[in-house]
Amino acid sequence: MDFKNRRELVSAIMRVVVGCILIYSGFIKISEPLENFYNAILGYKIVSGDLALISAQVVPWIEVYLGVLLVFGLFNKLVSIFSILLFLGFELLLAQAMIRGLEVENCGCFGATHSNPIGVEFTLNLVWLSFLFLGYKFSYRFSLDRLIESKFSK
Amino acid sequence: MKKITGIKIIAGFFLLLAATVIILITTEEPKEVLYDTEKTPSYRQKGNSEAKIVIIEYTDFACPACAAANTYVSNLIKYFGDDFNVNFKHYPLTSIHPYSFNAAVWSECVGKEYNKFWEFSDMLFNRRLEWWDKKDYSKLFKAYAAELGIDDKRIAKCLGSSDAIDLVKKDMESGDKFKVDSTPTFFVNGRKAVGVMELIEEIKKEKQGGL
Repeated sequence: MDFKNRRELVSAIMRVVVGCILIYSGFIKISEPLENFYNAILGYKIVSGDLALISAQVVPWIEVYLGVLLVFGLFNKLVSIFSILLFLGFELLLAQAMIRGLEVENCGCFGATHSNPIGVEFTLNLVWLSFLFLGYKFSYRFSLDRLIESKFSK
Repeated sequence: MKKITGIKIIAGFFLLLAATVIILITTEEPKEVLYDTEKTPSYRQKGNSEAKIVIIEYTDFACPACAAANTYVSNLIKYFGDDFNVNFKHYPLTSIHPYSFNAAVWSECVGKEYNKFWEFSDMLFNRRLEWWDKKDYSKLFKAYAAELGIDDKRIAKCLGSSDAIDLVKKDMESGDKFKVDSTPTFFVNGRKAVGVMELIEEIKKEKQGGL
C-alpha cells in the first residue's frame, strides 16, 4: 500500500473513531435523565432556562446523527464541517469555563456517569478536531460517498 | 449529479432512521422487574406514612440532578405532605463521586443516632460543591453535624461499626436489582421514573387514579 492509500485509510479510521465517540456520547445522554445534561449545560453559565432545556434535548441527537454519517462517510465534507463546528462550540464552552474559573462538576461530555476534568476534555477535543480535519481532507476513498458515486455516476 | 445527491439523501435518511429506531428501542425501559415498593427505615421516610402514593428515591449526595430533585421532593412534601410517603435510598455513584459513599454512611449514622437524617441530607446536597472531591471530607461532615448539635463521639462509634455501611450497601444492591443505573431514580408506587420529569409524569398518573 502506497503512502496515499495509507493516508486515506488512517484518515478514514480517524473519521470513524470520532463518529463512534459522537454516537456514544449522544447515546449516553439520551439514555440518561434529561436533567443530567441540562444541569451540565447550566454549569457553564452561558445559557439558562428554556434554551438550556432545548439544547439538552437536541444536542445528543445531533451528536448521534453526525456520528452515524461520519462512520459511514456519507456527505463526508459537509458532515465533517458541521462536526468541526460542533467541537469548536464545545471548545468555546470549555475555554470560557476555564477562563472564568467555573467549578464545572460534570463536563456533560459523556453523561453523568463519566466526566473528565475540563482541561482534559479541552485537550481531547483538539485531538478529535485534528482527526476530523484529516477525515475531511483525505478519507474519501473509504466512504459511502465514493461507493455511491462510483456505482451511479454513469 | 442530481441523481447521486438524491441517492445519498435517501441513504442518509435510512441510516438516520435506523439510528433513531435503534436508540429508541435500546433506551426504552424494560417492562418487567421494576417494581420496588420496599420502604426504608422510618428516619429515612418523610410525608404521611399512610399515604396512598409511596415514592422510593435512589439518590447520590454528590449528584447535581439529585440536589435539584431533593428541592423538588422537599417542596412536594412541604405543600402536599399528606398525599405522599417518600423513602430515601442510597445509590452513590462511586466511580465519579469518590466520597459520596462516605457521605451516605455519615447520613445513616446521623439518621440512626439522632433522627436528623433529612436535615443532614439537605446540608450534604446544598453544600456538595464543598465536599464532593475533598479528601478531608470528614472534617466538613463533622462541622455540618456540629451545626445540628450532634455529638461527635456517638457518630464516631456508629462510623466505626459496620451497621451503617451495611445499610448503604443494601440500598445499592437493591438499586442494582431494580436496574437503577443513574440518579435520581424514583419508584412511584413501584413504577420506575428516571429523573424529576418522569417523576412528575408518574405522580400525575397516580393523581388521576393510577394505572
